[in-house]
Amino acid sequence: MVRSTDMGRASLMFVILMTTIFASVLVRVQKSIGGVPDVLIRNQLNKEIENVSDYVLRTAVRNANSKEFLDAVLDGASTAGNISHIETYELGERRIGNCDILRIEYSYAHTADHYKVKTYIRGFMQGVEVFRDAELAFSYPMATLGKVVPNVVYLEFERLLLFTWFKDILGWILGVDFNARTLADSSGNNYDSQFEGFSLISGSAPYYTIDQSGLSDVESWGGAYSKRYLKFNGYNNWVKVNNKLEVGSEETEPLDTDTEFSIMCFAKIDKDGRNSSNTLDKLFLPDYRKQQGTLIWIPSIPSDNTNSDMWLKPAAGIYFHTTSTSSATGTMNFIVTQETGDTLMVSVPYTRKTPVWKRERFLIFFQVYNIDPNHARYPWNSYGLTYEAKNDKSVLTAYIDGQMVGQRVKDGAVRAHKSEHGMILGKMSHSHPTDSNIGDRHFFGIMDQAGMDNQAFTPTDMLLWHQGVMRSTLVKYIKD
Amino acid sequence: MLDVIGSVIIGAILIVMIMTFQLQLQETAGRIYYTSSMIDHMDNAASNVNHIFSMAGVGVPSDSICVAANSSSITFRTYWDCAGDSLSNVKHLIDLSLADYGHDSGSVLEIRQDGNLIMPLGNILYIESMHLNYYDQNGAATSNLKDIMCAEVLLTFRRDSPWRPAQPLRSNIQLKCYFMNAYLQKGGW
Repeated sequence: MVRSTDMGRASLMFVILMTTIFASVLVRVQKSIGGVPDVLIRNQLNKEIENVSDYVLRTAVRNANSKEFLDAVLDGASTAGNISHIETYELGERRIGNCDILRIEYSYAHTADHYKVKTYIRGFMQGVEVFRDAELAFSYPMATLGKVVPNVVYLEFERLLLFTWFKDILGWILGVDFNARTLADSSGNNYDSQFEGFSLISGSAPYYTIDQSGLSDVESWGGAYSKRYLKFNGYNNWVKVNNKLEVGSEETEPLDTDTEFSIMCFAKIDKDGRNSSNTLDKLFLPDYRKQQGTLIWIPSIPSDNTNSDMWLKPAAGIYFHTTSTSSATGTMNFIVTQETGDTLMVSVPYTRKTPVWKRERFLIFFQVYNIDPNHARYPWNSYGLTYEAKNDKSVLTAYIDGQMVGQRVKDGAVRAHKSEHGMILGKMSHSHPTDSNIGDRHFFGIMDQAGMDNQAFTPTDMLLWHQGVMRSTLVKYIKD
Repeated sequence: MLDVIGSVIIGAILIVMIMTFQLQLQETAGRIYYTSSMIDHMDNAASNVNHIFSMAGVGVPSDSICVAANSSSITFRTYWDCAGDSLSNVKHLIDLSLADYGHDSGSVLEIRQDGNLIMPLGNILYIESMHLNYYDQNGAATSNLKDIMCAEVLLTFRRDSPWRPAQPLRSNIQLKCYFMNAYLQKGGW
């Protein structure tokens, strides 16, 4: 006989069992149905944020190139160098529908015509959050991407130095300084730099583009962002970068060759060197082939110092040394002089390949050197030096074309020699004390993108800089 | 006693009704979720593929963007870093192709940058087949790498039905993906 208590227990068990089954089914139903709105909301929100992002990007682009915007936002700042202006908004401050504008970034490279705009939008609805960023660039130089630009001084030689000799004379007569030889520093620190020596028309020259020269395999940045390079005639052209402290620097020394720095430049070194001619100008323009050639020289002593022991010991320097006037092969040298007067040096065999200058007859009795347009067939080469003194080591690393070609490590972390006398491009600060053929070791070739950074570039940095310059085309792109 | 038996029978019938109703509700919810999530997945896949194509050729001359292109895969050059979704100093090779690893979820549309699978865009699941047709600037079909300016992407998605695994559901989408940045470049803006 079934007792009522047993019956009650059975009923209870049955109810618990049924409830458990219902509960599990309900949970699954809730999960499925609950997920649907999220998917739909995300989908709807994505559509909305896409439209808002397009609208904000368009508006930002319109703003970026308007005079009013530049005047108001950049506050009249010069657009030489790279400028970034970021507008950040709080949630709710700039709301369109269910979307908030979080940030708009404006970046200018050198001029108001080279800029890019980035927008960041957040969409939020019923607990679902989505983000979208978009960007658009107009004629933006690739060289400005990442850490590829020297931050102490950077000479890009974009200025046309027309008839400097004439302006010198005119200035002398009128007592007016035309700044005809001044070169711009695009690092933002505005180091004063001057082109020295004689140039009949202009010390800088434009690149030959592929179309103009009719060449088809030119691996250069001709016609792109960097429009000009500087010519060095091999006997009296050079560049003087004057001393000054970089903006906001906490250091006490200008062009601070201390425990960490990098110097670098692009150049094409003439493969033959500057020879004398058989015409009348032979009398005052002798054979300079042995002089080839200094690229960068940061003097450790002033130019009037008579201590010849230090003449060939720059705080830092990069130069080519001609071993034979009949051979294009010589050595590329990278040198740092330490505070103690000891030097670290990397010297590697190096073959010059580019015909940069060519000799042409001038006024019957003379011959002059002009730039050989065929140099555009040869790639630019970059030369870099980094120095780092830490962890009880002093390390000099040499780079050619962005690749490490040598390293010198010395025990003891010793800083480099003070650099209180500016920087020189294209010659040494003093003539060679013993070899008059070498003289000032003038550079015979062309140069571009010369600079200095206050940190030791890593191999990756140096390669990025090299590639960045080589590929410094103006990019135009949109990502929305 | 008869009352008890009658109430148990009626109660059991009611319970069975509620159970079948609940199960039907669960299946309906599952179908809705499945369908909407699949639509969402297809929408995202289309957006991602479209985005990758639009970033082709950034910083690259418009006649040398494509490295290889056939009916099942395409490889192109760009200075856009698709992994980090930003402009870079290095030229990248982007490759789109279908890979079948024998997964239950079907084939995978892979997007590779310089040989490396990029995530989260790199793997797009539930794809059964992909077919690519190419067109030039004027919209004419072409197979010449120099002329390719846009691609028609035909994707077939397949997902096994949760309630009838033997009868997978297939959905087709047709996309026309433009090398947007190449068009901008050609426009000389």
